[in-house]
Amino acid sequence: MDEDFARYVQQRMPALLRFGYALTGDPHEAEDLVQDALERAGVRWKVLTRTGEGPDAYVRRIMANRRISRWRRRRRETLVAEVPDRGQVGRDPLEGEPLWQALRQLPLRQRTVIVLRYYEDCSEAEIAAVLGVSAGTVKSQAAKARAHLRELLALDPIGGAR
Amino acid sequence: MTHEDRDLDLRLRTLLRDERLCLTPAADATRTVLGGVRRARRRRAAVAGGAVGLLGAAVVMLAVTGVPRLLADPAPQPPATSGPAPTTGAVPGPTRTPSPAVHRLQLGSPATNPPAPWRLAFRVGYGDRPSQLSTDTGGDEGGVMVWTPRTGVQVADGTWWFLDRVKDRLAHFDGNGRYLGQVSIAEQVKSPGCLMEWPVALADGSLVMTCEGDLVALDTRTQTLRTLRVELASEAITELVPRAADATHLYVFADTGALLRVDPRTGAATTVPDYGGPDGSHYRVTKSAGRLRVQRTSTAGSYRLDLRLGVAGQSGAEVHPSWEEAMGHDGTLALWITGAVEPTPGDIRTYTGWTTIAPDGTVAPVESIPQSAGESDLDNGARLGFRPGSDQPWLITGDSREVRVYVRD
Repeated sequence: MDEDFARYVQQRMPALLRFGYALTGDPHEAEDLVQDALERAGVRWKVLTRTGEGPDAYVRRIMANRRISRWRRRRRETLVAEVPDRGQVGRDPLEGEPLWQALRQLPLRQRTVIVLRYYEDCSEAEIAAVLGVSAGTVKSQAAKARAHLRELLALDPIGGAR
Repeated sequence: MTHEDRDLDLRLRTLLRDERLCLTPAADATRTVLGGVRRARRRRAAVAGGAVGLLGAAVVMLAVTGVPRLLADPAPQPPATSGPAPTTGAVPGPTRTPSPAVHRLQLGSPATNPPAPWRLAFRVGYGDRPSQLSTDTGGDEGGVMVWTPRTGVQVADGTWWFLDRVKDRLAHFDGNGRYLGQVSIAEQVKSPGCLMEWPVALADGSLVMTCEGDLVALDTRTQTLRTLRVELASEAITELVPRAADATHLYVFADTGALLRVDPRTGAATTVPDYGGPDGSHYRVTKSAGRLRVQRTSTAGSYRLDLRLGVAGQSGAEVHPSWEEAMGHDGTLALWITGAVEPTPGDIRTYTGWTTIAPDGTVAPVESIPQSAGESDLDNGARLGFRPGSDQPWLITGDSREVRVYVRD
């Protein structure tokens, strides 16, 4: 079992980190999220490989929901005065990209819907299943997110001109 | 779909497939994950064996504080030459302030029960009967138990309310734990995406919980519920976490990263840097490596404290703290601290401590106390509070057998 799981981790880690980065906008939050989701997948590996859902869908679901849950858990830390020492942090490679910056400003659930839709190519029904909400909620969150993005881009002279 | 819609779609797809979003895993990332899985299995085994999840809680706290790492070290970057410094949502303090007073707090091994002057007020077991609370398992928590008092709170009349999401209700108990009845929250729970939690008691006798971007308030006298839309100019808020209350207002975190002061009558909100206390003061507790910083501002007395955390027999070990805090009617701030230490890789130990800080900044000696983190790694319901209008703190702890409520005489 451990060999299978280790192989899965090795193969899927880059894609999962990228998914986490798109969800969070922060490389360190992305790795926390991936570590957390893979640990859970590892504990349930036997079940995951026997059920129809498969490990990818499970890990994606955990990452999307834990992103929201962890925000709740970290509620106090948003007031941390000193930035925790996270080692050397590289500059945001997309800091000059208005759409990326606008995406980072979206509320958690809207951002998650957008990433699942445009990065993971999930249908509205799939997103609803991942987040445990109705398809109607996904539709309204996606519409709000797109409207919010358009507003933010309109405020940005570069983004608005594109 | 309009041309603008299609253009935004295309831009989003292009952006999210941009190669610059690729992150490079560290060479030992797979081994790191496998180590985490082994720790998680040990933790589950401990839970299954009935032990309070010391290891699990510690692992979770270390995960929250950022250990271990999966990413390769980034290539050295030239220092930024312009632009704002990174922020965490905190409003900058005054540019010149005196150095904080340093106190060293020695945490100890977790107590099974808090010692005198704490008193066990009552305990409530789990089960199907109305007088019992509920537990939930499964969901995206991977089978780890999530107990659903999440959580209890004492209101101004001295009685207790517990949010029980399995039975879709607020369960009501008197000061001795006698079951008094319940108020259904079924309609609120049916709202798409609504995850009710974090009840906070206000001085007017109401109880306020979050429900996504809305607040739900229970008038405990009439036992009626109403939903409150939080309004903040130009901000779309989809998640709220109530945390504290002063004499008239509620303090909540929003998913935008802002701390908001909310009028519970109207939902009107303003962004604020600190919590407000029932005595009219403003305070905040923040953490950095191995310490907590506490700041209080008040016309009656202000302080800034640097609480450096250590543990007996672990000289030099860095303590990763988590905590619960609450302020009493007289401005006394109570801290329930849990610290995780990893003296050697994989050897994670948990320590705890209870202290209070008087309005003049006097820090009381650390006392033994149970840990605030439990075997459930998310929102386990352990909580510290004061009854509105009172200086008597209370604690709620729980495990797989029951919920226990303590008051300090």
